[in-house]
Amino acid sequence: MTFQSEVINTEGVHQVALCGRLDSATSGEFEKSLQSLFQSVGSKAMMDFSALNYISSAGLRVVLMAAKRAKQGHGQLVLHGLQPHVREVFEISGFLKILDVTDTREAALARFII
Amino acid sequence: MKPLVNERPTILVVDDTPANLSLLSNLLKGQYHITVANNGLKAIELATSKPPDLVLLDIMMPGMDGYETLSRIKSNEALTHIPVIMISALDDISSIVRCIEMGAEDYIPKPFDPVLLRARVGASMERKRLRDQEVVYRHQIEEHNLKLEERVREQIGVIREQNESRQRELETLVLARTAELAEKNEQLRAAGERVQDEIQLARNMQLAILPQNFPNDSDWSVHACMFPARELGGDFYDCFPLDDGRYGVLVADVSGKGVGAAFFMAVSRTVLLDLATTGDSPAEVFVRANDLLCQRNPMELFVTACYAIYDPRDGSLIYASAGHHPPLLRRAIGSVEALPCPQDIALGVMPEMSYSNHSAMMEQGDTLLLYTDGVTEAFAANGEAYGDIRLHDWLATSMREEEAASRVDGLVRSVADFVDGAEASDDLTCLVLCRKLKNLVLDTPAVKFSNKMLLLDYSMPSRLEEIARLAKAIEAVLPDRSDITFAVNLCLDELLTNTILHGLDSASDRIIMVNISRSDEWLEIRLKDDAPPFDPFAEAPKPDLDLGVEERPIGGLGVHLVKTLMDDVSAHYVGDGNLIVLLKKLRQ
Repeated sequence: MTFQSEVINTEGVHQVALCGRLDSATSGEFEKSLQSLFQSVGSKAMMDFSALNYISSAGLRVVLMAAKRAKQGHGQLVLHGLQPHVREVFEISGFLKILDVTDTREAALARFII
Repeated sequence: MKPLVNERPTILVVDDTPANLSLLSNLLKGQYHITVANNGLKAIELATSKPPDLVLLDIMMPGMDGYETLSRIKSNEALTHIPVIMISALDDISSIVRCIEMGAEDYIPKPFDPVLLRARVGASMERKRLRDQEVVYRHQIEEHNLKLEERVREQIGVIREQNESRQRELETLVLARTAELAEKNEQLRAAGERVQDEIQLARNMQLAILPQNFPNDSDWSVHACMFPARELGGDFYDCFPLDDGRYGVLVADVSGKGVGAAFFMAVSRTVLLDLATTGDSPAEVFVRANDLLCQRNPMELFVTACYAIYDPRDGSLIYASAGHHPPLLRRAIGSVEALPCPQDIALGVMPEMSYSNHSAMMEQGDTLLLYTDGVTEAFAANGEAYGDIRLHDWLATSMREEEAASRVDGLVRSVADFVDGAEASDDLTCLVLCRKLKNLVLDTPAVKFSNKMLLLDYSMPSRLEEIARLAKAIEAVLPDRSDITFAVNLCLDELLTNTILHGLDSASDRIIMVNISRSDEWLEIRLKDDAPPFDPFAEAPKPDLDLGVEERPIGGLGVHLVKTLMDDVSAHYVGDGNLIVLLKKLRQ
């Protein structure tokens, strides 16, 4: 398996850990694993990208869909720990401007306190 | 010189006492001729005027005494050889010793004893006679030696003269022979020059009978060349239009070298051209050419050949091989394959052989290469051959946009660079047929690739999960460029995903070819599919990056990523599929 993800719920925040290679072959499964994320209004979720080595537009698409659903459900999605190449892909795609992205997990958690 | 015989020897008796003189004369005159002197002076005079054989000399004399007289005789070169016997009293031994030391021969004591006197005189005479004889003999020997020396000198002179004369004769002979040799050498050189001139002429004629004008149509082009080795060889190529609009191309290699091979080449070319222009299939042409060549082949030469007929209307190719290298086909994407042809036997070996036709399709952008082993068996000075692998790599990395002529030049240059001045052992012949990309405007910048080499030639099943495997292969061939492998893999991923999902409609049984080359400054990535025409770069709109999350469309990011990460992108439909070319500048 080239990609793995895990969703755990601690203190009302969905914590999604991504690992490996998120591309067209693996994004479908990832998309499924996120389905429950923003079902209720005001859901909070954070995605840990620190173990993700690779992302293609197929992966971006899933992230964007999650962000759209968070917006629609008045929820909150924060991404953190992007590796440089992955961050570059986000930047080229204009995602850094429209998504909430932080460097560290602590900075991400701090977003929910406000 | 006194005669040795027939004359009595003379004795000079010197005494101041008349009694002694007469006594001695009387005692000796029976055997000797006696002259007398009564003093030393007179004795010297007598001895000088008429040298005696012996002198009897008294010691005690008035005036010049015996010592003085003896001294004068012995110091006179003319007299010194005359023996002198001293006359002395018996008791005067010291005087006798003195006289003997001065050169006296003997002494006779007084009073005289007649027997003793005669014996001593006789003995001295005998010694004198022997000495004289020895002198005579020595003289004779010296004379003889002189004569001998003279004769030896004469003989040596004769021999030297003979030697010198022989030496002169030899020298004259050597000069004459040298001149003859020089003349022969000059004749040989002139003859050699004539042969070289004629070989050059023959070589020029060989080249001249090969076509020099090649078709260069808007859809396709042909070019060929033949570089003869130093010796006359038997390579040739041919290209000719057929009546039905098709076009024939042929490359052949006659076995052996020299005039025979050159003649057989001319015969083979005529036979093949005559038969081929009827429009018969390559196999039929070979069957008949083989029978004809077997009838006209006294030197048991043979010729290997590859003949292909190209149809410009649809790019189809029908070809046959008679013991020749299979033709190489370079696809537009850059992959190279040796076209399948079970090699039939060379022409001229045995009559009534059969040959088989094969067919292939040339798509737009494809290139066909026919060649002889002068290419693959071109040797560098270190003995290494150019070889099949180098030829394949050269063909794979040569520019797709090139015309047939520049490809031929490129191959010749590649081989020349490889052998680096080493003398060619075999003719080098190659023929290139290009089917051009039609109606294609390339916005690719005029990129100059230097030291281009193929890194990866990869055929991938059309399944999304195969993309990760390709990524690993790319990382393996670019181990030193981790800075660009991410971008390269991302772009390939985006385009392959596009092709598989949209171009091939998720068909999983197709093959997509990926080909990566690297030059000093550029990385070139080519993808070739067999999907219907589709240009991802033209059709995908540029995403509006300023839209918010809710407004942003879900798709359209992949092509944007590729265009951003690559320095140049282009897509071409090449007849049987799409060819995508990406260029990434390598920053040092």
